[in-house]
Amino acid sequence: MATYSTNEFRPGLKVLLEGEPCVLLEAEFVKPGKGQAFTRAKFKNLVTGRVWERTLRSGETMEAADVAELEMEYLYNDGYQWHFMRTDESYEQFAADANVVGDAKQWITEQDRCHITLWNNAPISVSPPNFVNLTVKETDAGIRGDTAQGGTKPATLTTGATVRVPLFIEEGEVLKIDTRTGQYVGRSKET
Amino acid sequence: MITRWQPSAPIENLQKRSEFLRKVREFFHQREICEVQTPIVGSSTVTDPHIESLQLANGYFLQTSPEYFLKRLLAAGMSSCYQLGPVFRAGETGRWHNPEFTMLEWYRLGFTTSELRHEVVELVELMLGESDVSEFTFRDFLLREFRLDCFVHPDEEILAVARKLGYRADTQRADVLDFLYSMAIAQSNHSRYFVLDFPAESCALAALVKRNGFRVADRFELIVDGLEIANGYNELRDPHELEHRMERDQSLRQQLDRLDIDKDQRLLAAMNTGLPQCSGVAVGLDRLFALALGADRIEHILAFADDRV
Repeated sequence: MATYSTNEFRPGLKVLLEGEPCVLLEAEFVKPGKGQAFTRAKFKNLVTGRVWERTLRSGETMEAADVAELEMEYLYNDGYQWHFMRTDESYEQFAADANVVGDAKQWITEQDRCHITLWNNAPISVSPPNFVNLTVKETDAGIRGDTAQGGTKPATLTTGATVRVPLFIEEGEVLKIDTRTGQYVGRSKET
Repeated sequence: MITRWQPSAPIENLQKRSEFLRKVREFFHQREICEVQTPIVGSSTVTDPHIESLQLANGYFLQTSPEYFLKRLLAAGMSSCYQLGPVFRAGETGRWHNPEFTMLEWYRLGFTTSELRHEVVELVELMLGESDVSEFTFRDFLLREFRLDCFVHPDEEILAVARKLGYRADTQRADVLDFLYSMAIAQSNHSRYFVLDFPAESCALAALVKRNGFRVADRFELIVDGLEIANGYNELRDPHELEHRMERDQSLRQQLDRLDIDKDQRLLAAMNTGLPQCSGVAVGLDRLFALALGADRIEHILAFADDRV
């Protein structure tokens, strides 16, 4: 297995820390007093998303993690697992459970192109597209006169997600949502 | 592939640097401290196990500090003096480290470390303006930050605190303390302070003294905004003790699989003749200048940092 020494550390490196796949966010060389040199590093655990700070002796090595991020098309959910297919010519399929899909499940619909992180060839996280178009399933009827005040109301989308929308939005409309913030961007132009 | 030929620092910063250098020289001129220039290449170098020297093809070393040469001058009768110039340390690259950097080192005959600290503050204020400067002993510093008494608590307890803070390197007591010290600096909310009276293990070339029943190194560091700016000693004068420390360094170097470094016989001979009582301090001048400019990396004050030389 490949290893990286602290002097090869650069942001984006994928390594195993305490048996878990992590991405290196930043590393700083520190040399306190007259003592030995350390590398203070921040890692993001690719499974949990938690950030870990660790201090290593300079020159220490870490094992590389076999991690890849691939574009895949979301196919369907069989009630237990979410199924994805690679968008290259391989048509290779992968299944991910609810834990792995995480928050992405409230945004994705069939045929959406997602980014799937694989560790040792198994999915560990799913990123939805940055923008998705989703239909409003349920929302209170708005009062048109109030739009000038810029008020908002909750709307439930077909995927189950709830977002704040302007008062003029009606059931059945297709909205563009930014999945990174969970916010309404506008009415979809692709209706 | 882009060839990065341009300087690391903006030209305005390099012009400012010139002003800063003039101010520093003026500071010493006013105090009648003599500027000296000793070689940056020597046949010998420090035995310190945590400092790696760059070696030339003829076996000589780029100096990691002018300390040995300056002490030989002092032993030969030189008055209080300073050197301002480049020093070299292999493998030290980072946001605040460059393998070649500018060191300002000066020695004051008859000064105590406390008197020297005053002078360091005057120099720093000349660059950064006035501000409160606190003083903590090494022991109190760790007590404040971690409620850990490094002189009293057993090694396992010290290691346990370090592990909780993400330390995963080896378990040598001195290394664990180094780590805790760096973490304490990182989390301290004081902006300008001295740390004094280091553990005896971290004495380097400082004299050992007794304080409150504990043997400590009469040494100080100045920290500004989380950066180590100065490192000063009440200079060790006992040649036998110096030789003993060099031998201890040599065996540590062997354990760590580092290059063998011979004892500097010329320094030992000079110390045998007699080093006058003095205190000395080294200042990382690039860092100090960077702080004065509000820069957040050492390369923003260097004409060409290591990635462009």
